[in-house]
Amino acid sequence: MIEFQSVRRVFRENEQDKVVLDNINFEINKGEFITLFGPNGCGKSTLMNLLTGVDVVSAGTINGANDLKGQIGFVFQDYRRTLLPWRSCAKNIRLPLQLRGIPKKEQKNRLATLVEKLRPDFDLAQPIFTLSGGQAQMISLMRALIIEPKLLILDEPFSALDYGRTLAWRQTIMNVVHAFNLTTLFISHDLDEALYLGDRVVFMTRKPTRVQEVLTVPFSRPRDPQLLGTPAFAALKLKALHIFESCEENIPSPR
Amino acid sequence: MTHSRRAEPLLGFLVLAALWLIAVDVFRLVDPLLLPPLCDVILRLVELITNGSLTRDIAATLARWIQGFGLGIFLGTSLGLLLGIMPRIYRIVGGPLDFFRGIPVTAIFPLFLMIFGIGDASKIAMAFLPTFLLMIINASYGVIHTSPERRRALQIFGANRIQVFYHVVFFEALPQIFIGVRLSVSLSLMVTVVSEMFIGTDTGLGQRIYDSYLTSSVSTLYAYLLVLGLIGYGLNKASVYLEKRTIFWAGRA
Repeated sequence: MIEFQSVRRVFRENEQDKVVLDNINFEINKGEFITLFGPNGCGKSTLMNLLTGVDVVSAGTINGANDLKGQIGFVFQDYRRTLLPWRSCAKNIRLPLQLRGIPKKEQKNRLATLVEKLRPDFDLAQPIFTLSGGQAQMISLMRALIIEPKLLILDEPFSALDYGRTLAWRQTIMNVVHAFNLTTLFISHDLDEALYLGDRVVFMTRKPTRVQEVLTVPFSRPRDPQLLGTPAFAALKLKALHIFESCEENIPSPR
Repeated sequence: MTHSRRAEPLLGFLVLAALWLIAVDVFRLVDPLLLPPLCDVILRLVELITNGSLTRDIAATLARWIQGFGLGIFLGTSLGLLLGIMPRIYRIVGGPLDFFRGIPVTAIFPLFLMIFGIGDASKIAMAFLPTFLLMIINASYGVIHTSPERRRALQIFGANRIQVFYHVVFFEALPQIFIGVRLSVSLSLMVTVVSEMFIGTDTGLGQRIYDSYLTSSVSTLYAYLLVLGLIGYGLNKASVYLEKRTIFWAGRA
């Protein structure tokens, strides 16, 4: 569905070329759950900007990106700062439809259908600033799903939640992605959740960022949290750790 | 509890009035040419209200103020928002803008008398100018300092530039716009009253205050000061109320 071919992005900073992404190659197939795993500040946001058309590549191509224009559902890491506090929860969720000029009546119908499926346990008429972190993230997810996206991007959606909520959210994502049969790109820097949720995990290096290896996760979805305790999962995680270590090898050691 | 909280500001006024009453009306501790007895001032105020002159003067002052202030808010905010989304032009006009703002606005009044004549127009222009400048500066500042996260989010959802402005930038600039409004309210009222003290009018609170000074009618002077204080206080409260109602999310998101 989407194919990154030798994608490169160079920024010019203080008269010097800074390579952020270098020779990125991987593909996302329809219905697949891909995890991008990499260290903080490894250019994942730049990659997202390229994919969503906010930014353009310096070299290479992203096949299929054009067909996704306006078809991407996006759940941001910093969900509070990407929701609009001057709009109610419901109006935040409907925003992407409103931007497309869809009539209000249909916006409301589609919201009702979505509420029916996800069943949020709080009132959607209330203002954003009254929500807890988990509730705000739910609004963010619903806002991404209401356009019935061809691709769902989850940009470290759990990083601001506490551990208990993170566990619950992993399962929510697992179930929603399965129920809606979504193609998903999940950005993470937690190895457990990268493996637990993904069909394949793309390991990325530090800047200049390359794809180190793509690891296939051999368990069928939807998965159960019990999986995390199995020897098969432990073996996979060990393999993943080795890949991760090989990603880190070319970093100069701290003096 | 909330009831007593609401009464606290009123209590402050009452204490002040009581002090005045005791020090001046009862014990005559102050020269009445500097601070007349409170009763005299209130009697004078009642007189001004009943003979209808006070209403006329308030109306005259507020009419001049609202025309200049309103036009300044509208044009200043519009231009400021526009400049905010065009950073290059902002950088060009920013210097001259700061220069004009640096001139004490009352110093420009003689020039306005020459340009707009001695009638109402020059006084309206006086209320307009500081409002206009403050609104340009605050609105453009508000736009320039919007956070990139929401803009990027809207872009990803497929919003065009106008939609990003209408749904995000404008709202994020609103708190700063209201800072401009609050500053403008008091400044523009001040220069309106000052401009009324000069030639060209026989209505308006500024004119009445200056007349009282010339005739040494101290209680009248104080009566008008009380009225002006109340107007300023009311306008300030109104703008704060409007601000809280409009940007209800500020500081909470």
